[in-house]
Amino acid sequence: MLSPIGSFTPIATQPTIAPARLDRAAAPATTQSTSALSGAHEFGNLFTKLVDQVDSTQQAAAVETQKVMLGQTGQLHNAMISLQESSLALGMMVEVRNKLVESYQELMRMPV
Amino acid sequence: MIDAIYSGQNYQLARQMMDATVLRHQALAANIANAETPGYKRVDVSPSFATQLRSALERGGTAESSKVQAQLAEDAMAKAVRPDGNNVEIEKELLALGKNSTEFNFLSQVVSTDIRNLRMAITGKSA
Amino acid sequence: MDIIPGIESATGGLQAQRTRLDVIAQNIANAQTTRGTNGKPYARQVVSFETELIKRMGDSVASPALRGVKVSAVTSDPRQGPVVHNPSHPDADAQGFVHMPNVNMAMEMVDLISATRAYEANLSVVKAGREMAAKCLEIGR
Repeated sequence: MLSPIGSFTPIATQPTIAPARLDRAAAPATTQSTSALSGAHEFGNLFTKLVDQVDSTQQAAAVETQKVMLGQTGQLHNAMISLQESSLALGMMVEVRNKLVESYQELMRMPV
Repeated sequence: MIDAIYSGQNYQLARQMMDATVLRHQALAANIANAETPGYKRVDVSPSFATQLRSALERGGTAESSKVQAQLAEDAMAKAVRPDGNNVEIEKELLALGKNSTEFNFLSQVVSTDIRNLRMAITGKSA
Repeated sequence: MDIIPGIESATGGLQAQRTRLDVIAQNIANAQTTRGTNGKPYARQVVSFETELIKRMGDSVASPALRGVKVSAVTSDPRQGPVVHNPSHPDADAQGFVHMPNVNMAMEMVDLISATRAYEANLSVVKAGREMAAKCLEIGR
């Protein structure tokens, strides 16, 4: 399993989901070039879903922030939390993309 | 996929408690402002909020508990301290204010730590 | 509702207590005024408070609604002040009695302390609210 910081295990249980997903996201990439077209479609859907979800968190954050800016709500913490969540989701998507690009480059480097 | 990251029970609970804490702060502020108004009865977050939250959590997890909302209610247990019916004791309100602030700090720490841990896991950097 | 929670109630409270302080200061200053603008001795002013509804903007509905405080009226205390026998006073009446204002120094001082304490309590509400908002901004950092 991908472990970002050596053997260090974070205390919260949630973070381990992220590395596991990176692992799963990277694995289909290696099978993409070798398996049937359906594999590629599956993975494409997975990534599209990820992009959609990130987009929706970004939109939710935008809505909350606008409410605070226009003085419609006094719940500053909701806006702050949504901002952090959406930036974190975007960060995860960026990392997934990086890993994908890396594994693709690895593939290309393999002597056939 | 993203939703799984933010479904930790404590995280969701902390977000809800923050709403309740802000509401209580506003109630305490109103009580303190009206400490000398004749006939004013102190308000607070209704004490059933905690029990409702707990039972909703046991019933259906965070999906149920996120529907519980904190409400303001007149404090039925406060007794009148002045002849004009005003039942606000300023010392109690100030102490509750301090306690509430600390609780809010704690909740924001809970949420912050979760977010920081996630960021650490995602980016691999510990800063 | 505002970014700093509780600030509308606290603002109303601060203004109301400030008015009360001003009135008390005026009472103390005029404790010896035997002839006011209407020719009669100064009448002690009393401030009365009442609640006012705070406008809530788009937050989760709550009942009873939050209420702030405002000064409803500044009225004169109708009680008569002490009557002192002092024939040499310029405002003495035919019998040599002077009607003094009905301002009791001890009561005014107690009122002053109580108003100051209430003012400081409202200040600590604002301070606590500001700290909460500052903590909010540090979430996730």
